[in-house]
Amino acid sequence: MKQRCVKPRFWVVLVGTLGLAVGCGKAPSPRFDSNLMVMDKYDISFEQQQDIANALAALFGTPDDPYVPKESGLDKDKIKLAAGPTKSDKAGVHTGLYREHCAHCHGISGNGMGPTAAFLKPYPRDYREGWFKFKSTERAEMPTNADLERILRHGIPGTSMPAFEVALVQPEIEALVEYVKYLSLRGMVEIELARQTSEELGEGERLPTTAEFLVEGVLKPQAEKWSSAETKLMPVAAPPADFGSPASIAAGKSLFYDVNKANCLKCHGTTALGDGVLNDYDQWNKDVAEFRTKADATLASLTEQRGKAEEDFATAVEALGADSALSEEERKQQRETLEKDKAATLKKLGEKERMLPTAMAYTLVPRYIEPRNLRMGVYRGGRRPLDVYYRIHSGINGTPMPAIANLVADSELPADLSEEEKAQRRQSLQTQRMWNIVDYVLSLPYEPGGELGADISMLGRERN
Amino acid sequence: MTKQSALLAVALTTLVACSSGCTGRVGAGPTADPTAVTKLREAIESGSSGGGDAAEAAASPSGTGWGSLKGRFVFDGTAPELKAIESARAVKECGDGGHVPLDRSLIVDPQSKGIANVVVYARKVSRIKDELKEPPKTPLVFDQKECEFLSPVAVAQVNQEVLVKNSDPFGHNTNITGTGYNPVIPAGGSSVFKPSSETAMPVGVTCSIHPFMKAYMLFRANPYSAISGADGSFEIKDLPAGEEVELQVWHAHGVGTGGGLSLKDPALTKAVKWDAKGRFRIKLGENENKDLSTIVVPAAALAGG
Repeated sequence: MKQRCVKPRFWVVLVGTLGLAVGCGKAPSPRFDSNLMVMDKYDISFEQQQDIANALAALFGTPDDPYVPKESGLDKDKIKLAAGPTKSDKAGVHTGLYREHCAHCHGISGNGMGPTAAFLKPYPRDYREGWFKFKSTERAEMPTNADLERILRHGIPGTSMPAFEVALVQPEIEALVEYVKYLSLRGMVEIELARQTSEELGEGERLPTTAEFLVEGVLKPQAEKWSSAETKLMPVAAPPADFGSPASIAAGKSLFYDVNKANCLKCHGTTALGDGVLNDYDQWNKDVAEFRTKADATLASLTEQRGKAEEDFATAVEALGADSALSEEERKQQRETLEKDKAATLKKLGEKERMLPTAMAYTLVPRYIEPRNLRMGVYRGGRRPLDVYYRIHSGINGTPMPAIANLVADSELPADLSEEEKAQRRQSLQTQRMWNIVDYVLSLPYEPGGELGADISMLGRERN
Repeated sequence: MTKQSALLAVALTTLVACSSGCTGRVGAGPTADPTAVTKLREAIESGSSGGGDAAEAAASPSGTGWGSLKGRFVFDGTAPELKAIESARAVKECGDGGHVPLDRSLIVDPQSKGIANVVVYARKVSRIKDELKEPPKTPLVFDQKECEFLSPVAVAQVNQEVLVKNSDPFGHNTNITGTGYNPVIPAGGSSVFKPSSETAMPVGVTCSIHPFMKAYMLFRANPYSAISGADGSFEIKDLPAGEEVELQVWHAHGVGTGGGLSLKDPALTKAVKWDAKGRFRIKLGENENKDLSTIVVPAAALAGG
């Protein structure tokens, strides 16, 4: 018995070894994923998607081999440090920082879809739209390098974004800032290519392949948004002399709860616990929610739509046959057009059927945004008075938080002032009041008992 | 099961898994074509035109004079009724003692069947009549009352002021998608927005305080646009004549990309060829008043229609 067992074991081991050696080579290099939700939004055909993928690869390269066109305004050396697989060379230079520290949440493509993303709340940022929340620039503008660096260094309190200050040295942080900009710019260019394909090109027209189009027409205007960020800073006036005083806090409080002034209570709740509007999305989740609803409906009605295309075609052909005013030649031509239209419709439906399930798998279940509970003392964008001032001045990009920009009514300005004087007075009052609100917001965690019943049972929260 | 067969099973499984599972990874979207990428990269690096398609030449005027275009959008079917917004907050807050705002995104006149708020606009024009070159001095007024935007869709010209008003006795905020404009507008207050660039399609206008509020705004560099009235009729005057002009047709419920309204009415396609994006080209004669007359819109061209 024992004698006979030796040989099979030998073969088993051999086959197993061979299997391991032959079958499992190196894992394929990671690739950038397409923004399929945007491809669906703009009804981009497979052929056009291929054109866009080619253009993007030409402009930006691959995750392992990034390309940095000079018109991007990005620093190639920094990007090389952050890109590619994680490794150290003999001199101890560490590369592949993005994959080491960021990709597991933000994804290889910067789509906020890394393996851990679904388990985090809030979801990691998707860089591809170029919408960033916590920054010193005007609402719709890109953040500055310093803004991104601050987030990387100190993290975002109340979220899963950690502080990298202890883990990374300055050149590494700068490299990652540059790589985030690279991924964001790549995503913005992808969206712009899809938008132009849909909105600027005629039906069936292909994307131009000239440098003039790709660089001047698409890349440069998007890159310009990043390179001009430093010039788009929010103006910040110094706080009033009584900043931090009980009077300033009280003034801020009355503005906060005044529906005709700051109206903060509408979303943050009459309790400031963040329980006002509870059924709104931020822009990222809103896009996903709308996409999923539409995709579900499309997939459910595919058979019906195909039947309709056939039916419409049959009806039109019948009408064509009955139209005695047509010559034989005209009839033939029109029939050909009808056939082409039908084929195009069926092709489009076939592509949707293939693409939508993948596209849906590349989204996360949309979640409503929660207005911040201002009594917790946790401030995602930073707890300096200046940070809170930024949030009030321009609102928070990509979220429902609006700019608290109209705190002065016309009736509050003396009628006998000139227009110029009025504008000045309005500006100084507006600034002062924004700082008053900052004062009140920062005092909220310490407010004993809470204003307007903040200490009532959580079950009493207003919901809608 | 003997130890040997167990081992054999493990080895076979490994072999199968390795030979089939480790290759190709499913990713989203197509993989770039290396040949095409090399060619494009060369073009980018040399900065030349790369031998591809010619860049779109700026339209140069080929005609003279001006003509006008009109028509009337008519719904093919029973006019849908305006539905009430379902929101506890809407009922409670949106008017004296409660008011239920209506969803006004699709308004069909029950008598004439006319479809209101269809937007028709010229995509690109080679020339603009002198007196229309400057954007209007008067601001476009965009008001809201009882939690409804009074204009379900509005068109402003680039650099024309948009005066966003709040005629409610409570606060709103007005968020114009993609522009960065989203201020709180107190009761009875107003705010001014000046569009600096055009949009190819209308963009959404929302209020975060009342998330059910929705309207659209379109910003155009040229003055050639019209919004259909309650009876569905529209007219665009002084379009460049003697040359082809491409027009875009849009409705909030249009099922075409981005809300394009695409019509394939055989009677209509004889006059103009309408594409799937909701566009058609037309060549007007000098001083011609072209009337597309009744444009029948089938219910299927409008989502929820």
